[in-house]
Amino acid sequence: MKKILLLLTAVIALSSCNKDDDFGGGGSLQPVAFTVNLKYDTATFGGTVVEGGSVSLTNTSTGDVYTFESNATGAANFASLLPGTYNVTATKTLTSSEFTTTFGYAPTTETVTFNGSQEQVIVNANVTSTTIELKSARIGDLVIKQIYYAGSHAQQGAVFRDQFIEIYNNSNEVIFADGLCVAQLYGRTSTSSASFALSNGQFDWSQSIGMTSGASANTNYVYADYVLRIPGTGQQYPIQPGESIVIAQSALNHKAPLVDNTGEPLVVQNPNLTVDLSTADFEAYIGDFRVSLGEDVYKYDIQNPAVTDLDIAYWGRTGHASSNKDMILDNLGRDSFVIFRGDNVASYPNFSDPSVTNEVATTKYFMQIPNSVIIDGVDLQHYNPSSQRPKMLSSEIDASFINCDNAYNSQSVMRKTKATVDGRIILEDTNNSANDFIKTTANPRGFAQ
Amino acid sequence: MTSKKLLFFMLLVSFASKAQLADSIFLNENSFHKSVYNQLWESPVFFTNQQFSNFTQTEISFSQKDLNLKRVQTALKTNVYNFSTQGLFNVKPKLKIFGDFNVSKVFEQDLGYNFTSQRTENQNVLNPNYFYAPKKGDWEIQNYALKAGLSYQFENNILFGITSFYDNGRYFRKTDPRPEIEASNFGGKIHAGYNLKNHSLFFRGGVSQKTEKNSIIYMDDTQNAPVYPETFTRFSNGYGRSMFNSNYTNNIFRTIDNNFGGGYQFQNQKNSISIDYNYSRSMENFYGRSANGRVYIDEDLISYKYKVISNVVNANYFLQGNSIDYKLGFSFDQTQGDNYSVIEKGQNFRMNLDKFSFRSGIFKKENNRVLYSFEVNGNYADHKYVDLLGSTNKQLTALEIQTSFNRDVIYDKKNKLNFEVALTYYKALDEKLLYTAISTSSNSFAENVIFPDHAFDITSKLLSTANAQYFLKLPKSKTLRIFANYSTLFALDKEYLYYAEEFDPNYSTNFKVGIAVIY
Repeated sequence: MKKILLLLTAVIALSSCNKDDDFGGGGSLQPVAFTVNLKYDTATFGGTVVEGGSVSLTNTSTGDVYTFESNATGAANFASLLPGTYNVTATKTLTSSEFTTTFGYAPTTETVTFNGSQEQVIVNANVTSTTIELKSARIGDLVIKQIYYAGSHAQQGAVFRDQFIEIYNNSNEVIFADGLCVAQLYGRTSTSSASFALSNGQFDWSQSIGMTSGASANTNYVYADYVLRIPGTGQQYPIQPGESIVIAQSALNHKAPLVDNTGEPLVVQNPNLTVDLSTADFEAYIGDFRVSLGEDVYKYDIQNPAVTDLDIAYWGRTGHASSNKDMILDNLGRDSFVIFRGDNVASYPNFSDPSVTNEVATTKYFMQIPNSVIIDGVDLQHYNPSSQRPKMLSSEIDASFINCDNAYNSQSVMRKTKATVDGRIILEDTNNSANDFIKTTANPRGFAQ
Repeated sequence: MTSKKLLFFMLLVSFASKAQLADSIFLNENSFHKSVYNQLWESPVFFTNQQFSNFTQTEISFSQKDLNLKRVQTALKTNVYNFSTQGLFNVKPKLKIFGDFNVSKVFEQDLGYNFTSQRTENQNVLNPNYFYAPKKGDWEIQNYALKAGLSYQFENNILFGITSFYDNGRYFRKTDPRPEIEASNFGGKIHAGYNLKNHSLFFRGGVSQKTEKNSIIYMDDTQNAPVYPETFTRFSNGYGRSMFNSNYTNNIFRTIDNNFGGGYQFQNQKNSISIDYNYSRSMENFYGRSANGRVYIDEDLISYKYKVISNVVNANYFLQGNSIDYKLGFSFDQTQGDNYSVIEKGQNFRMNLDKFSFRSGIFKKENNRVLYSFEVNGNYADHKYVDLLGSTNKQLTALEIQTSFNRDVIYDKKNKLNFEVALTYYKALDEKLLYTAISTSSNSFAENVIFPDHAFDITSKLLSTANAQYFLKLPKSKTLRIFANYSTLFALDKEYLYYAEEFDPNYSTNFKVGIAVIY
């Protein structure tokens, strides 16, 4: 009986303990005032405050977007913001005269766009402001015009076989595509915290084995899963102003019945869901490379001999080849792409991701590409906002991200038309994909209205 | 649950299964004594000297609910197949054991905005922190539940009681999105006290643990996109605040409940007066995925909490006469629920429910025949639900009065037919619903759940019920019981129009039929 009473006493004592610290002393969550302070890049523009900058805060938990302009002191004051985690983007475009007035010298372009961004910014009663440095967006003559990554319906369409990337000459001069590289980047697919991740959830590449770049490993470089390069002698593949090149995963008419590399027929029940890529300029054919590794040619990597193959500039470290069987874009939208030119791409170093603490035979390595050689880049995003991933590109390349409504829905992300000058279409290019792109039905060489 | 614990439960239930009918009150026969049976589970040491007849009852039943007049997060139609066995056995004059075993299979149709094991049939608002999608779907549920109890008065007048339970359930939905819940809940209470002549004093303490492992999958994962708002899975964090949450694929809810209380009872040969108090504190933790994608019970993986504290006081009077029984009871239940976001380090939801209840009844019998039984019960409840970020402020004060009457309309040596009618009147005495759309993402939930539910809550209603029970004496002291009941719920006014013009006020029905053997 004594034991029973003792047990009872213990249960009562346990239950009656002071539990005021259950919630860690947190208070009520209520809308709070929040300020985003904008200034121009300190290193280049002396940290001058940005007046009239447009600031967008996107609540990562609800998708709600709040937009406000910065005042004369560079502060964008959000009077009532729900506590939570936000992605912040800021942009400011100066005309040539405004630029001259502000910085005391004339720019080389008619307008200069500045972008800045921060991910996973906590807003609550204790965190009431943040500061963003805006860097001048790198405006290239060649731009990524369209990425068709979502693919088409799994039963009625072509699934992912019909994916393509389109690159556009947004200048008024002929540009040769020879040597232009297209890279699919590698990063984390979750914003969850980890010892090897930055605060936004992206890999902290400075922790990679053998990395010597320090913190700049995250700010000055991107890391590629694979790199494909347009062949040519230097002036072999011109892109006329207002024209584009289409790079296909498989340069075939996907609307028509096909046969895969194993002899199995590929039937598309609804041709309207997919695209004809038989007139693509280039295709990614990895078959020969796989054969050289002793692997079979991927059954959907069907070669069209009439279309020029891309060179493989990087497909993983020798002996540690990428597991990708083809230029397959993630249908869900968890990729980023850049186009760049480099003098000696083969000499770029490669590293394992920082989650790797012990290198083994199956370890994968990713090519380190300097931001300085990147001409254009686009961060894509998962269509499901519950499954968002951290950005891979810095704000001067892409201040935000863009995504299709879904996977396998025949949509691509396509750059908006900004203006038409003498019949030449000029596309929007502020290096802010949320502003520059729309999601629309994939259409090689088409334009968004 | 370990196999030893399971064996213990089964033994208790099987003990009860061997009970033989004897004397005094049959707790399982008339609805009048149902509240006494419920009190036995709550405070078993109060009943060590009470004369209850041994009984064992094994029952199968089927019920069908067509709930047109309902809150949103409840199925439109529910079919339940149930098997249960329960019993009470007086091992010694002052030693009782009692047990319940229940298995049910439930088929629900057209349930939307709810991926939990809770339903809003008997609660106004779901606990915060749950996943949902608007699309309605059919659910299949299977549950089994074991309960066992014991009350004993030692020779030295020490009172001792123990009650324990184990529930296990599996819930799954058969259309995208497809939540699946594996739930287990077990716990127990120890009751100890002292009896001095007519006076008894006791204390109790208990603990329980409920675990729900949840996953949501799609056969067609592309349906889980904002572009398809009907099937896109969102997370409710309060009452009106909806969010994205990547943990829908895999998560765990674990609730630990600690409770304690005590009571006093005066009892003489016919009268019993008791008062008891119970404090309960439950903490529900929501565990998300770790960096490597796994979910397990770890403090670091808790992202949301919900704490519920309740204080309950019961006072009961029971007179057990030779031919007439009286009962009178009062309860006051004060409950407060608070949520907490570990990520955001703060609270946005609070629930307050203050409920005053009374129970009264008279039971007239002649030998074993019920001449009449008449009960009047009532509830006065004051509800408050506030979501600071939702942003919702719902207040409701409601009164519910229930009357019931039953008698044995046919009675002879072999047959008995008891017929009962009951009416329950519900009226909202005061109400307020303030909703301010401060987040564009939450409006759909408010328009489709908060407003229609409030429309339901403020509408006066009448529930009418008819029960019939037929008892047939069988050889070897066995009794066959066949029962059926039917109830309808009507709206008595059109108050709902104020909050939801599209609200459908058509009546709900509930039909149940079953057969039992008492032995």
